[in-house]
Amino acid sequence: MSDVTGDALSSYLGEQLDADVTVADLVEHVEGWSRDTVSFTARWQDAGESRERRFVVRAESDAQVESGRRSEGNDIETEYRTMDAAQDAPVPVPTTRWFEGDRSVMGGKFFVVDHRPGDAPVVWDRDQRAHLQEAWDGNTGLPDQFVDAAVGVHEVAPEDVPALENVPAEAVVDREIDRWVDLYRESTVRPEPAVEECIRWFRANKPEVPETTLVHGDFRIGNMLVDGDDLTAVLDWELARIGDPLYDLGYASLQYFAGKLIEPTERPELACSLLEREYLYDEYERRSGRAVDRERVRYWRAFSAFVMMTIGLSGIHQFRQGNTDDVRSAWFQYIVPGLVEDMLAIVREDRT
Amino acid sequence: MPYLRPETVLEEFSGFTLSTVRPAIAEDEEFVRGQTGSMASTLRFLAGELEAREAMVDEQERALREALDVVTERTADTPAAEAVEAVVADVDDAPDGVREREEALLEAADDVLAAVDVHLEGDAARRARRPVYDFLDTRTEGQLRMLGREPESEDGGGAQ
Repeated sequence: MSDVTGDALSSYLGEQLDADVTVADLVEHVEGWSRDTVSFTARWQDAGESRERRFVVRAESDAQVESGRRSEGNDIETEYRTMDAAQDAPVPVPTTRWFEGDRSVMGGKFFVVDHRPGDAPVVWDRDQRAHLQEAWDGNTGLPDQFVDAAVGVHEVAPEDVPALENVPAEAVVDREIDRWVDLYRESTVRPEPAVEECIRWFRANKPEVPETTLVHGDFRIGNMLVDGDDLTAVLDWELARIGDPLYDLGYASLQYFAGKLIEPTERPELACSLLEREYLYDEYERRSGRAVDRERVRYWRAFSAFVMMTIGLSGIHQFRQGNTDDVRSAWFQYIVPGLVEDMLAIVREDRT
Repeated sequence: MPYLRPETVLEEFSGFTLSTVRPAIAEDEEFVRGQTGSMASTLRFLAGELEAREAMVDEQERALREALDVVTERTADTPAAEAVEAVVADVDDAPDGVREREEALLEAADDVLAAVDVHLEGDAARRARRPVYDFLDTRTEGQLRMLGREPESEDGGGAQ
């Protein structure tokens, strides 16, 4: 954990708000990997009035600072700038407040955003998964809010996010393949013929991408806050990039993000265990006015399994290199067979 | 060590970590509790891996040899024949150690798929690949069973 303490926060916010700030109720959120996330309540006086607000600070982790290695995603400043660029888009993104690039303040670079109510559903927990499935069966508003969030992210044009590298539409697929295959090669321990076969398929079946937008890159219900029947925030913008908007739909359709780890889920037709995949595509098409080419979504769905597997292998690589002692990094090898199974299920349709 | 089977020790440690160590950690120590849970889960998977490893590699070798028999037949008199023959020889020469043998099998499967890609097209390529995909399925399903997947029921229940 970086040095995110009440005193450090109090001092930092005091400077930003030009007031004496007291900080209380710090809660560490341990779900994250490359970032440390802490929520807290700040109280201060403003023109004689008492103010109170709950914030979230997201900081580079010790491991990231000490090893100096790049994570699979963007650096923390780019993550902040991306969220900042999405402030006016019709997507619930926490209000951005401050970015601090001086590591002496709290041990790592960090940013502060407003706290939003709710919890991030853990789809690998059977009860939480059942709750999401009930949202679909009970016709609550949550599935539609999920669709709207995707539409909202993709309303942000590439030129509105200068922090992200702009890539012409015709270069998007090659960029994705090169980036993730390179990382896979760096991280892998031994050849896996199923994966090599999928890589050949990715190269031989590149879809045509007609346009680019902001892409969240890790678009799944587990990276959103849900409060009752409301989707209150889209979080974790670390993997955002300029790309094919349908990438996010393919990614959200992964069985893994519906809760499949070893066994298939009870409801494999539901994306994120929340809404039928075909409903997601149809509604997205209707609400965005953008045609959802099923073949392209299918391509990105297979590719997303490769991306997720590569992120897992990268964690294992870091563990093997001694860059982290986080037990989850070693554990992550066990997600690989299920993802390979999903990739092969798609690829074999064309290859055999 | 002749006294305890390593997989039994790992299985016991996993159970102890989950049933005794984890509940003893204060509720507000969420990170440490999470790490302990991951550790218990990893120990259990490792126990399964140790238990099943040799049998799994035997099964994979059998599946790959069967696949290569069919591929050899289907690629006879094609530009892929020579490469497939070389792969069969590699499998015959695979080393004895479990890990080394598994790696040789994986390389062989990749070589044959790559050769099909280079030398064949269309239906001929698809026919040649099909048996190798059966090998890939054997490997993936074996790993998932080792991690605890229940054998499929008679009415199916696939991942899609």
